[in-house]
Amino acid sequence: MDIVWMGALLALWAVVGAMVLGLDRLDSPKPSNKAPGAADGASS
Amino acid sequence: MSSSAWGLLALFLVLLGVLAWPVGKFLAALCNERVPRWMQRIEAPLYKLAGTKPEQSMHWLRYAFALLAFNAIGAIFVYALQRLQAWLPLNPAGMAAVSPDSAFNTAVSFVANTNWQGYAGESTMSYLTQMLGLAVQNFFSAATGIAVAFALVRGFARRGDGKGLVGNFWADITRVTLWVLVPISFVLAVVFAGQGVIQNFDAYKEVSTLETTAFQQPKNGADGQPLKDDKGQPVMEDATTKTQTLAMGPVASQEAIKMLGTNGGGFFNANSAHPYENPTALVNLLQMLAIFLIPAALCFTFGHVVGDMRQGWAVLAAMTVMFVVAVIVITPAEQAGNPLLTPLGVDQIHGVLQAGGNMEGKEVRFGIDASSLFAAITTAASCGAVNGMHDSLTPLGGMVPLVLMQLGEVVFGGVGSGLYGMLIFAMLAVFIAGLMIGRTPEYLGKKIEVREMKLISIAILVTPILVLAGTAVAVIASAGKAGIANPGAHGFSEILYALTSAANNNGSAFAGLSANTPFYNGLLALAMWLGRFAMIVPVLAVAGALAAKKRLPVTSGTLPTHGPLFVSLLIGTVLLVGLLNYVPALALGPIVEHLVLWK
Repeated sequence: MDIVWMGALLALWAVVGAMVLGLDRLDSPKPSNKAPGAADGASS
Repeated sequence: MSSSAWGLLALFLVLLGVLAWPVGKFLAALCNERVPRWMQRIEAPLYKLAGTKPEQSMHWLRYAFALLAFNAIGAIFVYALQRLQAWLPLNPAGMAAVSPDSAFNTAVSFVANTNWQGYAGESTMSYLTQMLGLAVQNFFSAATGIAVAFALVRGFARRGDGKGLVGNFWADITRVTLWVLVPISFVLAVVFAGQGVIQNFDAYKEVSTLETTAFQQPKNGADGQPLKDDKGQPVMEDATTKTQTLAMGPVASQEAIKMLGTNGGGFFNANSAHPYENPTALVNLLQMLAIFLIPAALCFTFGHVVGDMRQGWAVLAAMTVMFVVAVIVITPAEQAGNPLLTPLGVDQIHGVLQAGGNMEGKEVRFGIDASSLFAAITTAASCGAVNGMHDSLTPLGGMVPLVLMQLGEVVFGGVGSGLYGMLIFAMLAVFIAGLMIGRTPEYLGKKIEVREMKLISIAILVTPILVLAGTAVAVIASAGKAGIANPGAHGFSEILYALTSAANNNGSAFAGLSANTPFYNGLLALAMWLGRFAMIVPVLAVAGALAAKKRLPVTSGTLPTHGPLFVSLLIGTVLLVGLLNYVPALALGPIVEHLVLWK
C-alpha cells in the first residue's frame, strides 16, 4: 500500500510540475514601455 | 452584539496593530535582502551545505521547482515517519504505525499548511512524529507561504530587468524560519508553558475520576464506521467509566508555531478547546493574536517594499473591514441561541451567571464572545485551530467560517498566502476598473496584461473547482455518503465544509463527518495539495512576469490604489468573485438549515 500512496504523491507532484512548465510557455512575457495611462485599443 | 464582544474585538484589533507593525518592518528588511552581518555569518554554513548562494536571484521557474522539490521531500519524510513511528524512539504510549491512507493525508496536509486532521493526535501520533514531522512542517510550510509572498512583492517592487528574477528560495525560507518563526515561536512557547500549556515527554497518566461517568457513544460496525438506524440516525450504546487517561506531551512548543504559522493542527483532538493547549483567557487572546500577527504584518511589509505605505494600509483596510463584518454576523447569531430549546424552558438569556445563547460545543471558560471571535479569526486566516466545535455553531454562525474560507483565505489569510491571494484580487480589481474606463490596467506601475490575467484567472479558479467538484463527487459516491452522521442539509454542510477547508488550506472541520477513510483521505489530500501548489505556481508566474516589467511612473491617468474607492472596489471584487461561486452550494446547506430552524 505504501507504493500506491507514494505513487499518488508522485502523481500530484507531476501535475504541479507540469503546470510550472505549461505556465512558463503560456504567452511570452512582453515588457511594455508604452507611455503611462496610454489607451490600448478603443476607449470611450 | 454585546458590549463585551465589542470590547474584545476592539482590544484584539488594537493589540494586533501594535504588534504587527515592527514585525512587518523586519519582514520588509528580509524581503529586501538586507540582513545584518551577524545573521549572515550564522546563515553561511547552511547555504554552503545546501550548495547555494543567497545573493543569486532565481527566475520564477527555478524558484517554483525549488519550492516544489523542498515540499515534496517534506511530504515523503512526514509519511515515512508516521509509518515507522512504532519502531522509533519517543513513543511512550506505544503508538502503532499510522495507516497508509491516513499517513498520506496527514503528510500532504501539514506540507500544504492545511493541518486537516483525520486522526486524533493523542491516540495516533508518537511524540517524535509530532515534533520532528508535524511541528517541523509547521515551520517550513509557513516559511514557504511567506517566501511566495516575498517573490510576488518583489515582482511589484523591482524596476524591470526583463529577466523575471524573484529572489532566492533557499535564502528566503532559511531567513524566515531562522529569524522570524523560530524566535517568535520560542517566546510564545515559554509564555504558554508559564500559563499552563504542558511541555513534557511523560507517559500518559491514568487517573481515577471523582464519580462514575455514564455516557453514550456511537456504536461502530465491523468496518469501524458508525452504525445507523432505519432513519439514518447513529445507533448509540450506553457506557460507564471510573477512570480517565490524561494525554501528555511536548505541547507548548508545538502550540506556538501552530498559531503563528496559521497551521492549526492540534496536539490533541480537541485542539485549542483542550485545557492543556489553551488553559487561560490570556493564552486564548495570545493565540488569536498569533494567528493574525504575520498576515497583518505582511501588509506593512508590502507597503515598505513597494515604497508606498498607503498601499499596505489599503490592503489591510480591506481585510479588516471584511473581518469585522464577519465577527458582527457570527457573534449575534451565536448569542441568539437555539429556538428549539426555548419551548423546553431552557434559559438562553445572556446574564452575569451565564454566557447565554448557543453554548453547545463551546468551552464555558471562553463563552460566546471569545469562541465566536476565535472561529472568525481561525477561518479568516487559514489557521484551522478551534477553541469550540464549529459543527455546533448555529446555521448562520456556521456559514460565516464557511464563507470566510470560500473567499479564498484572503481576509488576513494564511502566512504569506493571505497577502498573495489578496494581491491577486487587487490585480483583478484594477483590471475590472480598467475595463470600466477603457485603460490598460496597471497596479503599482506594472501593467496588467493578457498573460497576467490568464495566470490570475487560473489562480482564482483553482480552489472553487476543487471545492465544488470535490463536494459533488463526495455526495454522489457511496464512500462519500457513508461518512455522513447527520443526514440532510447539515450533512451536506459537513461535506462542503471539509472540501472548502481542505482546498483553501484551512484545516478546521465541521466534525460529524467520518473522514478518516481511504476515500476522504485521498480526496481531501488531492484538494489540499492542488489548493496549495496549483495556486502558488500561477502566483509565482505572475511574480516573474511583473519582475520583468518596467515600473511606470504615476500620472494623472493612474488609478489610485490606496484610497477608500479602491478599498471598496477590492472588497467588492473579493465578494463578487470569491463568493458568487458558492452561493448555490450555501443555499443547499446552511441557508436551508437556518430557514428550517427558524420557520
